[in-house]
This record gives sequence, C-alpha cells and structure tokens, in this order.
Amino acid sequence: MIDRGVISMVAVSCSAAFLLAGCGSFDSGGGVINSSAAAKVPVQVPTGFDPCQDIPDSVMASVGQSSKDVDNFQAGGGTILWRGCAWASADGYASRIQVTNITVDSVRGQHFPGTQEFIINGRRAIISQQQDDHPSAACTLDVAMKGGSLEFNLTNPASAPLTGKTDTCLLTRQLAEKIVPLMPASA
Amino acid sequence: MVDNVIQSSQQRPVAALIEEAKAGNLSVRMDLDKFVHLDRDCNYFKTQIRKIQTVLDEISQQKHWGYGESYVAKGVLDLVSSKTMVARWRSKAEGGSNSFYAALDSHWQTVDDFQTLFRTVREQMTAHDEAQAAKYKQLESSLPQQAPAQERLLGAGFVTESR
Repeated sequence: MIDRGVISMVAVSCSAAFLLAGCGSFDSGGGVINSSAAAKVPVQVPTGFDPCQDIPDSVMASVGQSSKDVDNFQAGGGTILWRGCAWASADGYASRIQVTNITVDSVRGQHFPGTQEFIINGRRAIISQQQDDHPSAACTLDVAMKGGSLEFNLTNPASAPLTGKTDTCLLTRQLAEKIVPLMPASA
Repeated sequence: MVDNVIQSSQQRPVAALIEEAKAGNLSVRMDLDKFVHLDRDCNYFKTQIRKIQTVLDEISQQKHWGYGESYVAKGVLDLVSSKTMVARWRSKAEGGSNSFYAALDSHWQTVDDFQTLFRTVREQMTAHDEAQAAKYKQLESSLPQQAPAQERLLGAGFVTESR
C-alpha cells in the first residue's frame, strides 16, 4: 500500500493478457510524451482518494453498478498511469473510475471532440469524447485533484437496454456528481 | 427481405426459439431453482461482458503505446511497423464489425436472448399456476448465491490484484 501509484507496482497488472498496452519496458521514446524525463522520476498518481476503497458499494449500486474489479492501466511507455476500479451492470453501462496523472489542462490541450468544462463540487472538471469508433457510446470526465485527476469513463453500448439510449456524457456527469463529494478537500 | 431474415437468424440464433416458447410450443423440464440460477448466471455473464468492453475502450483510446509509433518520419527513416502494429491492435480492440468490442456485443445479445428464452419458458410454467408462481418468487429472493461456473479455456477473465 505504501508505494501504491508508483510505477514499479504497474508491472503486476501487466500479467493481464488483455492489457497489452505499454506493458514491460518497451519504451522506445514516443515523441509526443517526454518519456526520457519520466524514466528518471517515478510517475505518480494522486493518492488523496482511492476509487477502489473510498467509494461505497451502496453508492455504485444506486446507479446499477456492481461487480467491482481492479483496473490499472498505463500508456505512453509508463508516462501516463491510471489506478482504480471498473464496475458494470448486466443491462446498463460499465464504468471505470481511476486516479491518473492526467490533468484537466492536459485533456483540454488534446482538443477532443465534445470537450466541455464545468465545476463539480468546487472542482474543475472536463468532459470529452475520446472514442473514435463509437463516440456516442463512451465518455470521459476528468475531475481535478492534487497531482492529476479522478477520471470517469463510461462504456454505454447502444445495445444496453437500460441506458443505451441515454446520452453517455450525461450519465458520466451524473455518476461523477455522486462520487466527487466523497473526495476529501485535501485530495 | 429473405436475406434480412436469414441474416437476423444467424445473428440471433435463439430468437426463433423465444417465439416458439411464447407460443407455448416449447417447454423445458427443469426445477424452478435451476431457473433462478440460470437467470442470475446470465446477469453475471452480461455484466462481465460489459466490463471487458470497457477495458477495450481503455485499450483503443490509447494513442501512445510507447513502441515508437509517435516517431516523426525523417526522410526514409520511419518506424513503420510500430505505427502499423499499434493501429492494428487499436482497431482489433474496437473498430468495425470484426473487432473484439463488436464480437462481445453480439455475445451479450445472445446471452440476453438465452435469458429471455428461459424467462419465457418459466413464465409459461408459472402463469397459470399460482403455487408455482409463489414458489419461484420465494426462491428468487431466498436462494443463496451460487458461484458461477469455473473458468475454462479462453477464460481470460478480468484481472484482479490482491490489495
């Protein structure tokens, strides 16, 4: 628990056959992200809030979400980290809530489609559509915290009978509005 | 039109059986508690499929994998294979009808159809029999949760870390 969020821990999650992205030390210095600097300084995710521990099951159940699993991820050869959990529903959307070193400002700089900024519980928040293949079935919301953000991702396929016809970004925002008040002010 | 029918029966192999069950032409001899477990297992399966789909979102949204795909070509010098591989993996995760995401969506639909089929059969059993209907309701709320079937081959499952 002490080194939670430090890059060395990420190797553990790389045993997943699924999570091909960025596992191991294949960093060959992708141009856009400054990975040479990151190689020296361990990448940290915010520690003030743990999505897996600090979100009561009852809160997730109120939006139909259950079956929590750890979902850690990295990209850019280990320069971007996500640590958190995923939930889902049999007939509704699936969700990921993770702390990440991605900031609200860096999301803005990407100029993703559908980008909008607002305030949730006094924190800056930015919503965007980062999925190319089926943009309306996914939505990403980053809420500012110390050292990065708390990121919400919803997967809401059109085939989901309970939520598939509802705007995914609206659902994402509604979920965030339930969770963000649980974060300590110091986070 | 005929093509459409054939195509939809291929994509929804259970759909015709549901119609048969609704018409009362199909019944399944099974204890009521088995219907309860079957219904729960369908929910479990559908939930897991959605959770894998959200991981696929996670994978396909990543533009920077750190394999050199962001290298800017200098004349003839380029890292073609890294760009090709990353694009291929991202589109295999999500992109078009033969992507992992789309295949799982059709799996979800098939599990949902099985659930509807067994619900329809069970409703036929309980619709005209109040005692059976009451028993099902009671079982549904009181039967202890049963662990889902063990993962076998291809049971890539979802990664869990002990924390």
